[in-house]
Amino acid sequence: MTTTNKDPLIKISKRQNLALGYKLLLTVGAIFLALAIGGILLACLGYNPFEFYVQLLMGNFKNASYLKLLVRTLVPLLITSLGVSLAFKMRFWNIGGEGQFIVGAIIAMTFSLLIGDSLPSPLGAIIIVLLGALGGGVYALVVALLKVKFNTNETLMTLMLNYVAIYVASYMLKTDFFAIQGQGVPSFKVIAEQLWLTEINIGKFSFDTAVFIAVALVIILFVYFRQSKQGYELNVVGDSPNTAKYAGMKVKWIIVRTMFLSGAIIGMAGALKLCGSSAGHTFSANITGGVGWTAIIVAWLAKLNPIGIFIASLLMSILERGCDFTRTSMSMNSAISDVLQGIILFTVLACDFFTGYKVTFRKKSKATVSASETQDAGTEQSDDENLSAAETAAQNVVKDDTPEQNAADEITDTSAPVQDAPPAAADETPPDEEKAEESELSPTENKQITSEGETPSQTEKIQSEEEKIPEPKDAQAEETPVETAQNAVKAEKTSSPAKKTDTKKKTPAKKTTSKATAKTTVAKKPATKKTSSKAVTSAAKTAQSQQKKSAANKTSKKSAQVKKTVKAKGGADNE
Amino acid sequence: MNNAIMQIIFTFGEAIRRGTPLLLGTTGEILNEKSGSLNLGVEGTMAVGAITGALLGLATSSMFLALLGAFVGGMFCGLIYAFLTITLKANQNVTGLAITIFGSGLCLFLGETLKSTNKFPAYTTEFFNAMTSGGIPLLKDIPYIGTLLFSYNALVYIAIVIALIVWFYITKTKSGLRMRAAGENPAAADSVGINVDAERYKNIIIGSGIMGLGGVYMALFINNGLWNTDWISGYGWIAVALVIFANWSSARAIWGSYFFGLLLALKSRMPSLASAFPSILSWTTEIPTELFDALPFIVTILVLAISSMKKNKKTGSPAGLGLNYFREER
Repeated sequence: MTTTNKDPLIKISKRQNLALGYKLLLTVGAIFLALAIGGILLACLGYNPFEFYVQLLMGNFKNASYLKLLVRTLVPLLITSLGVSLAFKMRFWNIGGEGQFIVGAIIAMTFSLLIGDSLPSPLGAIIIVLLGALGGGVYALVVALLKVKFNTNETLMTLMLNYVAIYVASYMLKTDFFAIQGQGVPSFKVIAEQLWLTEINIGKFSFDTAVFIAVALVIILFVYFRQSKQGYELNVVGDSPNTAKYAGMKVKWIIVRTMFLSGAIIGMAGALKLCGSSAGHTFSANITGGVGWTAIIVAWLAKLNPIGIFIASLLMSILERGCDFTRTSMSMNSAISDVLQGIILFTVLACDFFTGYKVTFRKKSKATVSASETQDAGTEQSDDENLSAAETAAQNVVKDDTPEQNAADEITDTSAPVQDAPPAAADETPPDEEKAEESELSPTENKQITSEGETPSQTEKIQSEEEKIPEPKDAQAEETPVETAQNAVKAEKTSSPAKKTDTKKKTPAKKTTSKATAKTTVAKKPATKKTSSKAVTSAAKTAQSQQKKSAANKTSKKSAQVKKTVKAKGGADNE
Repeated sequence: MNNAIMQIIFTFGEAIRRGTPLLLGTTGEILNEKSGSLNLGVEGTMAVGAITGALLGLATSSMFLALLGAFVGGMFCGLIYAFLTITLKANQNVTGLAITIFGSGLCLFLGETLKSTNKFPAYTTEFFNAMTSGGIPLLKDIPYIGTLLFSYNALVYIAIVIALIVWFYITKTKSGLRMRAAGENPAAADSVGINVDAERYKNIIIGSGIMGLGGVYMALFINNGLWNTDWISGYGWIAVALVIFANWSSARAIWGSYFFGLLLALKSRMPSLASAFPSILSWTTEIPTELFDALPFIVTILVLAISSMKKNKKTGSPAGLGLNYFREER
């Protein structure tokens, strides 16, 4: 086995802590880059980009009435973004903001017409808004229940439910209950004046009480995410549901609860818009104005930070209002706002990469793997990082080796099903999506969790297995246990042909097998030994426990059950 | 009675006409999803394909250039998506939505700008005739069956062929296997020497190009090359739904698309059908047309929910769907 010390030309590794100022600088830079690209695009189409951007600001801050429009655009977007961020925080892809917003508005509209003017002014509005929130919450709750019960894909589910809500909304115009049919085009009824939100006038500038609710929500969510137990639970569930489970959190309940809150906040935004002046105190099929979609972008731009969400939604609103203004002032189509939003998002997503990852180019003086590794290790703090960095190095070496390549050829030649993968089928991604999504979590969000190790669920598993079979905690010899483990794994693989034929889905047993092998392949590379004994030790540890386990697996099914309980116990102990 | 049969044939014809862009969009999305990327940018990709293809085709009166323009336009969106999600590891959902917002906005902006300055190219008569008078010679003259099966424009048949080729590629070929491996379990695929990033790049870009073809079909056939602000009108989202309905198989997507196309066609065809069969279908005039609009999504919701409730989860959904792959984290 020959090892080459050649690094890839560009090496990408994870970055842990980047100063906040640096991040902000990058984001602002990205936005300006986007505006520059947009400017070039405009120039190509024969518009003066400088004039356009001046007009864009004019459209927002020219006088109080424009400012009023800006605030009206901002409030629903801000509230919806906050609602969406709540679900995103636990990696639940609620892209159903559009639908939940509409349902909130529909419910609010229905009860407004039922209640009429029978309630006094503030009470009626409060009840209507709460009912709207309930409607949006229930609409989201359905998805959450399906998710926890049957693991239904929430992204697609919320997406589809958007359209059901949209078509229900457009149907409402045809009913006598919601709309005045009469002659000509039907129009929605206006809700009773008692249910309107209170308007506060400052000269020409005016805003309704929804502004206070929006600002209050920013503060509440900021505290909720930072200080509350529930906010912490969200982080843990988002990062690793297994960790949360072992820590004794009721993951399913957390998902259901959070999704309900998320939908409720969005539904409330819909109800507030219905009762507010911006929608003319009435319903319309396009009452959302697309906030359900924009909110997702806002939440992501802001990295789910409530203060950031405020800034990002302000930016998007300025863009939208400004482009609306240029439609008349420069006779330009306001769709340019979407184009600019898209470009801004592209550049910000691109710059995100540089805050989350570090790009290093290959040194000119053919640096050895170990040299570059120790340097890496020096710059970064935590132990886990050393470990993962070392593993990368090992994997870089793995790639250059031939046995795996041969295995690959073999597999493709026989054109076996995918799951019938070779021993190196390192199935470390659990069936549910959460684990891999961890990778996308920005470092600051989950400092608490990173201290637990690179993959909490995995380490716990190992630990629990060690509990079952008392073993010396540290592997003394590095080479021997690894190799024996490897043999054992191989033996198991050949001795169970039934498993091989059963190719349809990955059985749990197979998963562990492949995991063990993957670790072993990492460990057996001589290069890693000198760079970080830690990686090797951990791999050896895994292999050791796996070896015992594979033996246990063969004996009876009962052991699996025992393992399960032990695992749970181990997890609890760990916490 | 003759009229009644023709009404049915027209309805199915409309279903096929409307199903074709869905089929192209779905086929493209299947290529994306099978390689592990949940690309929510179908709507935007189709919009970009529509505007680039239609402008090029109408300006040059060339069917080939229209298709080429649409394919390249779609590939451009695919390239942005792939670069952001694969190389820069951006979140797939957000990137897809950004593509949709950007693409729809670009299509709308270009179209409106050209329209307002009266520069939007129109069909030349011969191009229009060449586009619409399609069909397979001889076969289309068979009464009824000929009209039903063989009388459509070329893109209808191209779409079916593309779907079948994609099905063959995914299920029967070696490179299709590699691509599925990258979508099912990227870490495993990587460890056997498959270049996961390259697989994903390739399939996203080609898939997006196919979506672009669906877009130009919407522009030139469904909207007859006349500009309106709603060229794609949600067909891209229906395509995302159809992938689930078709269980990630582009062969199944063929009839799935026509079924969804039928649901869309019924909206406009129902009154004439009802008048052709007054005794059986007169009640259908009571159905709100919004129900036909919503039906594709309702059906998909049911399929999604029921398939996840099944005990043996034999779905074609790739295990690695929606997940970015970063080698250091496996």
